Amino acid sequence: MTVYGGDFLGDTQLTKGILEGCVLAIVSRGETYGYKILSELEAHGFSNVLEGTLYPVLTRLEEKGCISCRRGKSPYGPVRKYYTVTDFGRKYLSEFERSYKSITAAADSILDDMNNTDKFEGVNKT
Amino acid sequence: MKYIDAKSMLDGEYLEAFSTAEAYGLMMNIDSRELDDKLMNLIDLFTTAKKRGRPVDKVIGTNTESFCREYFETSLSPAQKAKRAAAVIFRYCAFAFAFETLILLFSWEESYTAADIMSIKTDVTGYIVGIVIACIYTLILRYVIRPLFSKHRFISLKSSYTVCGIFIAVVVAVSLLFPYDETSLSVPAAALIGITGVYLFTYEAAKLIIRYRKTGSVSNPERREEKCIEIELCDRRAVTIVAGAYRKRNDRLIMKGKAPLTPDEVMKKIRRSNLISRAVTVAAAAYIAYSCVSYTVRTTLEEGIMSGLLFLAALAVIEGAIMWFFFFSPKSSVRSETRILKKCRDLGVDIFKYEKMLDESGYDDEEKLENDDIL
Repeated sequence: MTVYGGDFLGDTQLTKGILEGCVLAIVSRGETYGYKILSELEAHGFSNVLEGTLYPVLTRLEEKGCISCRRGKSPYGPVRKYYTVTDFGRKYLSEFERSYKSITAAADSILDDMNNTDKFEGVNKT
Repeated sequence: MKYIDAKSMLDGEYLEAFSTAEAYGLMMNIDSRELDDKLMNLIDLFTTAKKRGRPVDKVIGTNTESFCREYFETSLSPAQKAKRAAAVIFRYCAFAFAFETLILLFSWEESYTAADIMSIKTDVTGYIVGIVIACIYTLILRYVIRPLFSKHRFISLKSSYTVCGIFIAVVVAVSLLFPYDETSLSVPAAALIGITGVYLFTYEAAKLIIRYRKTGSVSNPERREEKCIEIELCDRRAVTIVAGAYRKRNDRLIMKGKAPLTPDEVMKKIRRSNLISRAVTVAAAAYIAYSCVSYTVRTTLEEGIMSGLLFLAALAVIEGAIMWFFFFSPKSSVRSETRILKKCRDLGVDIFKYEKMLDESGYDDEEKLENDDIL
C-alpha cells in the first residue's frame, strides 16, 4: 500500500502508459488471446491488471494497426479473439523499447542523484 | 455470432458476474455488435477461467461494478465513433430501403404506370420521430438512469428490461394521448429508396475494399468459422436440453415406482421423434409450396401477371423465411437433433455419454502445458 492508499502498479498513469508496450511485447511472441495475456502480465508482476484495463489497450493497439485480430474457436466453445502482431506493430514495439529505456535511464539518473543528495545531506547533518 | 448462444456455458458465480456485466452493457445502450463482441469476450474469459479453476474475483476483481464501468466505458477514438455512427445509419437505411421498396411496389402495381412512379410519396415523419425518440432514450439512459442505478446498485438484467419497458409504455401512451395532426413530411418514395440504396451500396463497397486491403480477399473467412461455432453451440445446448428432459422423465418414472428408460430406449425414442419431425418438415414444405403455386396461379388469372408475380415474390419471402427458420436452418431443432443422432452413432455412445463428453472436452493438452509454464 502506498502513502496515497493505492497500489502503485495497478492505479497509476505510469502503469497504463507502459501497459500498451508490454501487451504488444507479449503479443509479438506469438498468436495469443485475452486470458493468456492477463496470465502472462500477472506472472511478470502486473497483478492488478484486469480484463477491463486490458480490453481498451488491445482495442487501441488494433486501431493503431499494431496488432491484428481474428475470431476463432475457443477450446471451450465460445468464439475467441486471437491477436497477432503486425509489421507496423514490431516497429512500434522497437520504438517503445527505445523510448522506455531512454526514459528509465533519465529517471534512474534523477532518482540516483536524489538518493546521493540525501546521503550527502545525511553525512553533513551528522 | 450472438453472445446469447454461448451464455448457457456459464453457471454459478461466473453467470452471476456475467449477468451484472450484461445488464451494465445493456444500460450503456452501445451499438449491439460492439456489445455482442464485448460480452462474447467476457464469456470466453469466464469459461477459460472456470476450466482452469480460477475464481471470478481473481479474473475481474472483487468489485464487479467497478470492473463493468472500466470495461464498458472506454472512450472511443474519432475513427471508432465514425465507424459506429456509419453502422447505425446503415441499419436505419436498410430498414427504410426494404420497407419503402415493398410499399412502392404494391402501390405502383395497384394503380400507377411506370411514369407515375416518382409521384408516389411516402411519409417520413415516422422515421424522424423514431430517431428523435431513440436519441432521447440514449441520453436519459446514459446521463440519468445509469448513474442513478449504479449509485444505488440497482443494475441488473431485470432493471435494464424494466427501464426499457417503461420507456416504451410512456412513448405509446404519449402517442395515443397526443396523436400528431395531419401535417406530415412527404417525399417521393423512389427518392428515399434511391438515397438509402446509394448509402447501403457505398457502405458495403467500402467494407469490401477495406477487407480486401487488409486480408487480400473480399470474403470473410471468420464468418464461416463463426457459423460453425454457432452450430456447435446450438448442438451443445440441444444435447443438454434433450438429455435433461429424459433424465427428468426417468426421475418421474422412478417416483411412480416404474423402471426408468435405459439409454438404448432413450436413443430409440429420440430417433423415432426425429423421424416424425423430418416427415412433418417435408410434408409442411410440400403443402406450403403447393399453396404458393395455387394462390399465385389464381391471382394471375384474376388480376394479371404483374399481380401474380408480386404475390409470388411476397409469398416466397414470407413463407420461405418461416420455413427456413423453423425447419431448414442449420440451427433448427430438427437439423440439430439429426446431427446429434449422427454424432452419437459415429461415436458409439448414447446421449448421456455424449453430454458428458462435451462437458469434459476442451481442455487442450497444449493449453495445459502453456498454463503450467505461465502460472
